[in-house]
Amino acid sequence: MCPKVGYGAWAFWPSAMRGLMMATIEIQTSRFGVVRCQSEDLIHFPEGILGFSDLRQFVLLDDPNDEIFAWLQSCSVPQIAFPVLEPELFSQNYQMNLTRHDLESLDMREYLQGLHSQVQVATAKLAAVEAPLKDAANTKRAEPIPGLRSFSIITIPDDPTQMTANLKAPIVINVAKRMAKQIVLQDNNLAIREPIFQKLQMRVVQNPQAPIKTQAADWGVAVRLPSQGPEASV
Amino acid sequence: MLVLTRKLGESIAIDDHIKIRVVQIKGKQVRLGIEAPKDTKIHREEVYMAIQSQNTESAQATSEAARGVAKLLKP
Repeated sequence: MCPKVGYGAWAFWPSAMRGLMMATIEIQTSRFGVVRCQSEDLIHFPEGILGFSDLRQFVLLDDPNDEIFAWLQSCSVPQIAFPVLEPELFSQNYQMNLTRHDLESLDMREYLQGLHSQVQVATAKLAAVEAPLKDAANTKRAEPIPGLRSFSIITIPDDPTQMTANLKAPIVINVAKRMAKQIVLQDNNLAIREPIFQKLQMRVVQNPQAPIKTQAADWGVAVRLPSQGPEASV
Repeated sequence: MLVLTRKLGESIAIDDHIKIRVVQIKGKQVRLGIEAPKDTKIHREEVYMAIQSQNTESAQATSEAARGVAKLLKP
């Protein structure tokens, strides 16, 4: 009898803990009113975002009244939110060359380990494993790294035709682990203020049916706001 | 802040793998040569300042302005 009671007690605690961890959270926002989401929707920025290093928790919001952008909303300061878009929407050849350190800070341990074992297999006959491993982690990769999604922070000035995207320092999110970082890429050809209005317009002209809408919610990174939700303007 | 005096051609070492050498001194300009592992990111400080100000500016956008962009894009 006693062991059974003990087991039951053990089984109860983890589920209770899980219940606590999946709690519904209310986030105050100046643009979208009170937003309700699950704790696992939160995205953690251990180093903050440049200029906002104190803000460590964000949530990505998909505004159903907006045909384009998602918003990276701070969980602690209602006024702070950044409109974002995936760079692929206006820059087809966009490549992020992430370093080993970048991947480590995004908690991509499994990927790095996989990379390590792949290289070990490929270079099993060679004595020097470390050098090719370094190259594999550093070389340009056309293939996106599985499990990572990236977004450019967009600046929308009073004249929206002058809007720009930050290609130099994308927000990169480890979708499964909900870890993210604004990564400053070494590539000197990438602009901090890349004009994108005409590029987006070109897309619309070439293919009027295809939406330019962010895919963030479909990827499971963004929370869809209710379409008739409470609204407040900034 | 640690301050070191260096002459032309002299260098400093940071950790075991980073070396910074004074390559040229011309008036008020100093050219530095940096040797570092491939993984090390090296940027002029202005890059970070520019990203910070871009971020700050981006956070000023209203949801109305963002929603309005879609209409402007339509021909």
